[in-house]
Amino acid sequence: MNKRLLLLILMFASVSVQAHPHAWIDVRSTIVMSAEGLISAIEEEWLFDDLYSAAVVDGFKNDSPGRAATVRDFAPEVIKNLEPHGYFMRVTVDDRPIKLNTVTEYKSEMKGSQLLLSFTAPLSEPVGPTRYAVSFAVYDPTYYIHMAHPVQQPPTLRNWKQTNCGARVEQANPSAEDFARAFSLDQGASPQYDLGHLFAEKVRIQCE
Amino acid sequence: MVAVCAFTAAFVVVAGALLSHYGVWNRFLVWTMFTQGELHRQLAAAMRQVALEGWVAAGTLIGISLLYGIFHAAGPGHGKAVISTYLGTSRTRLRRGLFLSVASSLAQGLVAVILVEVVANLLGYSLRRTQGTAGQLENLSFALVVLLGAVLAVRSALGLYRRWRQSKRKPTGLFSGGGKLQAYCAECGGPHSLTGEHLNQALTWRGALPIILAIGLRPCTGAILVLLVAYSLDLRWVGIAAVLAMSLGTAATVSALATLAVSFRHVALRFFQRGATTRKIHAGVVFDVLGLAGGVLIGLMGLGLLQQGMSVGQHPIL
Repeated sequence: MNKRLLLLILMFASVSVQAHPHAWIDVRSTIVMSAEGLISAIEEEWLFDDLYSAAVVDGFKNDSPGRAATVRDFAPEVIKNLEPHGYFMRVTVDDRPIKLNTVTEYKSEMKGSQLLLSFTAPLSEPVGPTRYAVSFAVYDPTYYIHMAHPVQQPPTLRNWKQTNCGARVEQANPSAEDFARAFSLDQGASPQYDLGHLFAEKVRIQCE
Repeated sequence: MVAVCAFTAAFVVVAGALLSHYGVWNRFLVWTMFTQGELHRQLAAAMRQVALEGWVAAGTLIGISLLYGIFHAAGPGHGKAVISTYLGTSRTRLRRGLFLSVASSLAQGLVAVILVEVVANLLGYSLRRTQGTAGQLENLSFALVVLLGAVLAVRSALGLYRRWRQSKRKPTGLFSGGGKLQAYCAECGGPHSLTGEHLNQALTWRGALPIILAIGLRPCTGAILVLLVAYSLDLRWVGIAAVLAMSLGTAATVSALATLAVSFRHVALRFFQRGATTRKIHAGVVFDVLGLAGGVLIGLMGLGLLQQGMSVGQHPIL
């Protein structure tokens, strides 16, 4: 009983800074395979939510040069800012993290009223999904932004001749303990940076 | 009456514990986050509607904003942590807890309005510039949290020290507090109820303002986004109305939390009182010990937040 009470108190004595999401991104991922059947890169398309997009670009009239410049300059700035954060991507091979090389291909455009950021994240070492368990997650560690693949556009594989490989999205399933930990008082361990993965989907690439 | 309150509070706590045990609480939290996302997605569309149809469509926007505030505040955030720790450990009545919750929520909305007005007018319209300034305000609010915790802790420690000295001078001074609080009520011979007059500590502006600022000084990003979009659509007053609605929604959730914190304290104290076989323990001592712990907790929390806020820097995207 006492433990439960403590858990409850911890839940309410939440310290995570402004942690709940303030923006939403619909993620679309394409896993790029090389001719040798190795995963060489992951292409990302991030569709920002309406309100965020509006706050970035709506200060300008619809076809003013200022607006076009803001949309165009969005990608280089965000990509530069994201580099120290691993582009919000965590790629693992047999639970070992794989680094991404610096992103050099990127662009931003408007899709209706929403900002769309596209970029290609090259893996520092190509990996074979037939030999290793490859998975990746796209998420904001601070959980300032909620990022997810919409159900109707799951991750796909490109250049994969054989049909026995596929990508499967595993939903996040935070437990009571996860919540308590996320909302609890371990400031020492920089709680802000552990929150995002609790709510992050995991994409597993599976081959027969 | 007191018994009923205590029972209700105990029920809430036990029910909460059971809910957390069976995962219902989780599903509730996940659901609030999901709903919040849905509402967020509707905000921009609702604002464009107002831009097209004028104030007629403002009702929908304000309704969405109100709900957004309610759901948004249900997630984690330092304001709630400060207010629940403070109310859970200090000698404050529920009425004042509610006042603090509402005032700090409204202050948060007001700060967002002022920030966007100032930044958009002086520095030019830019989300990142506004967010950068908001980040500095955030660090300032964390520093205030540290200060608040320190003041609470020192005040309680002084209280304990004074009591300790007094008890050394008059070891049997239970009935001779010299006009101060007494552990026994002369008429009934039993210990004072903790909901008695000695809870009536005057809440001055000097006492309330640091708490309100510590919580309200950091404007919510959602409010900033709404105001910026409203500003660019020439809907300044609509944006301000929406942010006000958001603040009221936040106030509702935080008030509910404050009620829970105060009830929890009542239950815990009653439990403690029953457990104390020797009736020597002064109700004030309990509050001082509790206040000391709460102050230290809030202070440490503020330090952690401040250190983090200084080291992490601005979010790469927002």
